Amino acid sequence: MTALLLSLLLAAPGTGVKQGGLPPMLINPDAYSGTSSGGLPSNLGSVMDQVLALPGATFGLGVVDFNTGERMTRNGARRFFIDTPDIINAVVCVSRHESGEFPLDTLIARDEQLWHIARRGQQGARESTQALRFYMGGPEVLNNWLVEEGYTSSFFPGVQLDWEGAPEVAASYTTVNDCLDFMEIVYEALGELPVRRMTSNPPLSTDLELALGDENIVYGWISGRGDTRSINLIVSTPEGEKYGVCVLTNDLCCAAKADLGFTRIWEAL
Amino acid sequence: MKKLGILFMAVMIAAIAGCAGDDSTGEGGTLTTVQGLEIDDTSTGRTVVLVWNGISDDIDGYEIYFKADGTGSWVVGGTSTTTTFTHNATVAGTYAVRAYKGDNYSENYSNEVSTMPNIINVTYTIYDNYAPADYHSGFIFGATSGQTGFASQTGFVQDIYAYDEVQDPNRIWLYSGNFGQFGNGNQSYFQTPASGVYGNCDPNGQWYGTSYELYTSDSVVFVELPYATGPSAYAKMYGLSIAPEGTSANGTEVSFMYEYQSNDLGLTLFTSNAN
Repeated sequence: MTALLLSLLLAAPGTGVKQGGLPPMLINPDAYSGTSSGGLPSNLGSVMDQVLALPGATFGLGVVDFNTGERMTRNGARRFFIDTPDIINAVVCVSRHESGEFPLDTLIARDEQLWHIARRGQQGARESTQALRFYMGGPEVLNNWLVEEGYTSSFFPGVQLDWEGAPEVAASYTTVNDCLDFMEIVYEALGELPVRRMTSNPPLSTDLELALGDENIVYGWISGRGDTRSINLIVSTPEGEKYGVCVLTNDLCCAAKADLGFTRIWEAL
Repeated sequence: MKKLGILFMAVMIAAIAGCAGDDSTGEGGTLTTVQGLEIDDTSTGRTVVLVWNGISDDIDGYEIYFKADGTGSWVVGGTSTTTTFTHNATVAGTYAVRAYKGDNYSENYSNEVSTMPNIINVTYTIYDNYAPADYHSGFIFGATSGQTGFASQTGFVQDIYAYDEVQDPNRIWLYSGNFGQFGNGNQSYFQTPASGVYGNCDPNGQWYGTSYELYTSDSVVFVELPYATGPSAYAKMYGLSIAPEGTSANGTEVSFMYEYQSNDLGLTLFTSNAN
């Protein structure tokens, strides 16, 4: 099966084009393969510095090349507020799935396996992001996992919900360094169907769709509201490049600014 | 001739009244009436164990009668040569016993016993979190009446509450009272009826102890209500109606009635009614 998927990837036009065409969300999320190539380009650091200098946002930036393990970050250890930390939900789910403690295909409610809830949250259902913590055994499960694994710069107190009378929830936060680790954990588990299903086709903006084009396979999480937006995407190119790209923003003037930061970095890769 | 006709009618009426299958006080024969019919403590789930006092007459055995849903005529549910009978029931109902010897029966049916639930024929409505904040979301299944209240308030210890995980006026979940955002209440479990079967739920079947999304096509959902000690009670929510709540953008309401198995045996039998 992997060979078939790999052949399909290799059969795609290998022009390296990263813009235009069909949105990546139309790509079969089950199509995943692992080949190796790459290394981070030499100009990536200067591009990141240019993004940092963009007005209208405070950026945290990071890229990991999954083929080589090479990383580059800016403001990597700085804490950024994030709106709906689906990436934290996902990494804890994957960790417990991999350990056999709580398989993602566990039937947890009527017609719903665990990964369904994670998927709904990843697609933007704030209630589901919040609810998943309860399905996993309580909010403390996630934060205990973060502490146990040494991710003390990430914290997930909850999601601010929108309904009348919803309790006030403190903002969640994380760092670029942690997000790169989280993406690496999820990336390593992408060979499993439930993991792909709950992380595929993140809700890209039009700008991000255009930046990523139709030839890349994209997994990940995007969230944000107000002056916060976070983009954490795992991208596989037809050439076999596999990157994790993290863009965290606070003090944001507009969502497009975060997307612009991602686009600049992606174009440099 | 007219007198003869009246006499014939009277004889026919008396004959019909004497037939088995009418009620538990009707005359049937000359054997002693069975007494002391009880539902044994070993009954549980869908298994109803009946016991009664034996009689000293020379008999072939006992016939056990059943009225599904507690209504209609007696139907023979089985026979026994001992003073016990196990009924694998699919619906709640009432039971009676007669002794028989050939075609001679007890003079009367025994006392009746019932597995009927309490039928709370009141429509309750609860609302999800996107309905206005002063609309009740929680519910407590009482043995004889229910109670709505605010799941968000710790003083209201709900068995279940309504919640929406996707901000959609057409979708609604039932949460166990101890699960999720307002999980300060009691543990409950939910079960989907087998196709078209509303008279019983399976105590050993698939139960969901966290949440249960209701579909607009649903008419029934079963709820297990564990006690701190002893067998669980069970409820059947029926006549379900799921609809957008009219005054809010994304609120949803669910209306229902319910039946409550208030015995202490953990019986999971209800009427066959869905609406």
